[in-house]
Amino acid sequence: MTIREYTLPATNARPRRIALAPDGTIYYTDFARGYLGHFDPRAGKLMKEWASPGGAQSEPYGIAVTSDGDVWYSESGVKPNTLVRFDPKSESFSTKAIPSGGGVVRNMVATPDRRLYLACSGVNKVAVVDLNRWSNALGTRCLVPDQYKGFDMLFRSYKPSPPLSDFIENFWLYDGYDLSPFSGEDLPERHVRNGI
Amino acid sequence: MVFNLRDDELRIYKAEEPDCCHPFSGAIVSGPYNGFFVTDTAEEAPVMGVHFKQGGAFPFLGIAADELADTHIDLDRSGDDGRLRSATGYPRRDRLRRFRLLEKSLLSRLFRPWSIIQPCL
Repeated sequence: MTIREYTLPATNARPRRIALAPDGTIYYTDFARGYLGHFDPRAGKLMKEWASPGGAQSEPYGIAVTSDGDVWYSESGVKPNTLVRFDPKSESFSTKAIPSGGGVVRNMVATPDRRLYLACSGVNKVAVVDLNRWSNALGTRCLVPDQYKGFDMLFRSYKPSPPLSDFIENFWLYDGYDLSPFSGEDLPERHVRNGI
Repeated sequence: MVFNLRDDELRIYKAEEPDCCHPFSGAIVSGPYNGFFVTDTAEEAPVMGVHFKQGGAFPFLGIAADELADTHIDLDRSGDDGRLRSATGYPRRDRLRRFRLLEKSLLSRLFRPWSIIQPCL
């Protein structure tokens, strides 16, 4: 057993945590630069880096990779801390604020039942995230106004009928944060409600 | 395709310049992006849209997907005559009617003669 060191191209890179992907590659959170990195240990080279949605001061920290290959990490420099999902296939990010604030998520783990457990160190809590309920059709970063933090956003979709279904995935309606319980009174069964 | 149902404006911030706002009308077409962009959700409640399948927007817009890569355009620049936008203008609670009107409006564009499709770019 030997230890081999690899030098990253950016001299100021400071990977804080690493996570192993199903394909044997490694994702790391570059705390100092605000980047997510992808490294191939077999080839011994950096594959690609992406700026974290929270920017250069976002201080990416705890990271985990789920069995489907999605990468999850927390930005500790953003208040409240965020949970970021990175989809390697589309190279897109989506972000949610952690309701407790996070208090610097130094570690997180993914379980086979598609949950994430976050160690919210500064607020003395463990957060559990049900990944089956996470969706973001837009693939955009959601800036949550302060007064709405802690509320779920409401997202409804409507599947088109043929022949439009050959061209259109869905129609969607985002109703904001001002939520009343959705009774489904005006939508038949083929319309589904998704929680973003 | 995105419609702001509250204000006639949508603001987009690109990843490479997150402090720079790109204002559009309240009805836009968002192309396929190789990365993320930021929207201002504070102005987008409610907002409605159409998620096209890959290449699925061409019969409606007359614009190839690669022409829209990493960009947004106002819907009226795509040759829309306003019918798509007007299909979204119903009371907030009348969600199903909005969906169906937009569906009907898109259906009418699917079978229009090719000669009236107006490429915008």
